[in-house]
Amino acid sequence: MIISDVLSLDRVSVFPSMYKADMLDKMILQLSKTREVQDYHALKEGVFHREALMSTGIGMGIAVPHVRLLSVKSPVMAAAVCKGPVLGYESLDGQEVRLVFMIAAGKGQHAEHLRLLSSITRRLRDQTLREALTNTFDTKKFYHMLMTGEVT
Amino acid sequence: MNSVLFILGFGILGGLVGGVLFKKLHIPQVIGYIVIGLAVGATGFNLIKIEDIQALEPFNLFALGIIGFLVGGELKLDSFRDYGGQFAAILLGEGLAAFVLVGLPVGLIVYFVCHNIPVAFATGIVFGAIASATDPASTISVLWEYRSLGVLTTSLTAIVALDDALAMTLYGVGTGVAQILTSGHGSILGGLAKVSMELLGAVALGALMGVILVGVLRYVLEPERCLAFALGLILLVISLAVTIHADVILAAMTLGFVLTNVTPRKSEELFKVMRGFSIPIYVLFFVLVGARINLAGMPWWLWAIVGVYVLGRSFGKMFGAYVGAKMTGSPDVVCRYLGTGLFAQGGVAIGLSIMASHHLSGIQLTETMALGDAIICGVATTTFIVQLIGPPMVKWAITKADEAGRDITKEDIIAGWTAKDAMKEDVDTISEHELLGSIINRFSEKDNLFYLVANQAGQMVGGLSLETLKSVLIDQESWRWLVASDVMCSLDHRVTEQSPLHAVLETMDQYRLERMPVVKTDGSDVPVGLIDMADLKHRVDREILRRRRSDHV
Repeated sequence: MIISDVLSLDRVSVFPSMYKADMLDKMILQLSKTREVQDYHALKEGVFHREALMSTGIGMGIAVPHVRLLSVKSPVMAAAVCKGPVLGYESLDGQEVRLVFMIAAGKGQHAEHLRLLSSITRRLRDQTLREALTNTFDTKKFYHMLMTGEVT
Repeated sequence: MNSVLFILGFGILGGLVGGVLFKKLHIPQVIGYIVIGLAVGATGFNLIKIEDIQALEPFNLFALGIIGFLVGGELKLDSFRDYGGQFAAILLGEGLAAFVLVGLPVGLIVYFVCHNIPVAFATGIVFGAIASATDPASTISVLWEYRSLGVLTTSLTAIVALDDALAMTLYGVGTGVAQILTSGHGSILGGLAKVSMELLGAVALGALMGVILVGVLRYVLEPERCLAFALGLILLVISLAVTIHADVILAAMTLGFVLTNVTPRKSEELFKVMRGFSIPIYVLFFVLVGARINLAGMPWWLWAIVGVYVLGRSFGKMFGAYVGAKMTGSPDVVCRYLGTGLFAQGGVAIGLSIMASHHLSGIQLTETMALGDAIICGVATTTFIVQLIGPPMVKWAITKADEAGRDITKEDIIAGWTAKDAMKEDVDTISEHELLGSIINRFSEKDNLFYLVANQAGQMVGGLSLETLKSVLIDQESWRWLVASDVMCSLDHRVTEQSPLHAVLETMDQYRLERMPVVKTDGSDVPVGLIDMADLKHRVDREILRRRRSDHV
């Protein structure tokens, strides 16, 4: 499974600086409108439960809130770039979080879920791309760069 | 009403009911079958008449063939290699002692009745020869019923299987001598030669059919189809054995013996299916043995013959087996208990008595009773009595030898266990927020291949095996930020401690689960153990070994 299979342009957002909970709420709402997600409340509970276990701010300004749920039919993703820091989003290296990729997968889609997490983090290890994405507030351009891995 | 079909149906159902009732009384079921036969036969309500039983003679032969085949399947060459000399000595000891200790007193009684020395001598020889036979069917049936395993069981199986041949030899010589004594013509050597030909013919016939069945098993894989082939061949063996006057049981036994020793693995399934198929045949066979007996119409001296036969034979079997076993340095349990396991008599004794009555027809013992009738009636009655004594004595012997209940299979263990008996209690649990890096360290430092994942309240939320971690092992970067909750597998099924293990395994098989958490009560999420297929296999194997292990062997 590749990123283009789970992320469409309409689920890429540009947000102003805001609190973590508000941002997660907005992205959860966005995902819950897809055919893949069948239960908004379950998604919200799942995402916040996972954040309670440990912050998904993995460092380098990136956060990947993710969850596996019975009410999700197949993996789906939403992406957001924040014009300022996401307030209250703790990260492993202490850097402020600017890029957020929320992933929801089905309960049994264990391998797909992990592969998707791995492919997104692998792509964002490229510092040039990461910086370009952080500074791009045009959703089309963001989407294109994320899909191709090329900075334009 | 079709009387043969009535007998078949009534005999099987009635016999089964009798078997169940006797089992409840802790008496071997075979006695239940015979008692039911007695109740419905000539002694009791006469529902099954002697002419009906005669009409069922082909069935009796079929039953003897099946029994012979299954007994042959119990005889492994390895046992003969290990105990061959020992078996031969015991066989001769118990057979000859029974022959002498029955033949002499019976001859004396008959002499007092008819004052004819040749007739008394002939009768003694025939009764003595028949006394040496032991019934493999009921003896083996008790060994199976009580799941016996050990050196005494092996010895019993071999002796009861082989002493038919000894009985046939003694009988052949005996009737040869008896015919010469009573009619004044014929020769002992001729009698011996005839019997030898019959025994060799039976072995050759069984071996030939055995080779054919081995060939069939190579190409036919389904056990049910193999059963059909085996039944066809057994019927052929029986009919050919009858045609050439060979011993039916010995021929069928050779067939089973060849099969189990040439293709032990492939034939195992066939013997299992055949054992299931043989149950109604066994039942009906013994019901007919009971129905054949008429206890009311016997003179006093025949009762006396019955008395000395039972006593002399029992003592002869015990004494002869003890001497034979002692002489060959057999284990203590064999010396002590083997003889008491050899009391039962059945089809072979009755068959020999019928043959003897044909061979010795026309000799009157008294005005009202011919020698042939005395033999049939006497042997039928002694058969009934020793069938009553024999199976409980087999049970007693294997119980004293501590061999009962040791032939345990995987299925027996599973049937008797609950989830609690089968679970691992020391299941390591990790918290759902434990980092992947730390989890991987656990796997590398400990032998555990699986962990339960629990939340802060101690409730399990999933499971983690090396298999589930496979996809993240390469991406070491993710070890810093993935937690147990991200990589665990859900555990949608759980069972309580009291769940029967067979039901648990059915569920695991249905959902292809390798592991199943065990909880205290329904609805609980707190694990008390884990059923792990790999671990369970070891547990069951250990339990089988534990139950089979005997200090006496």
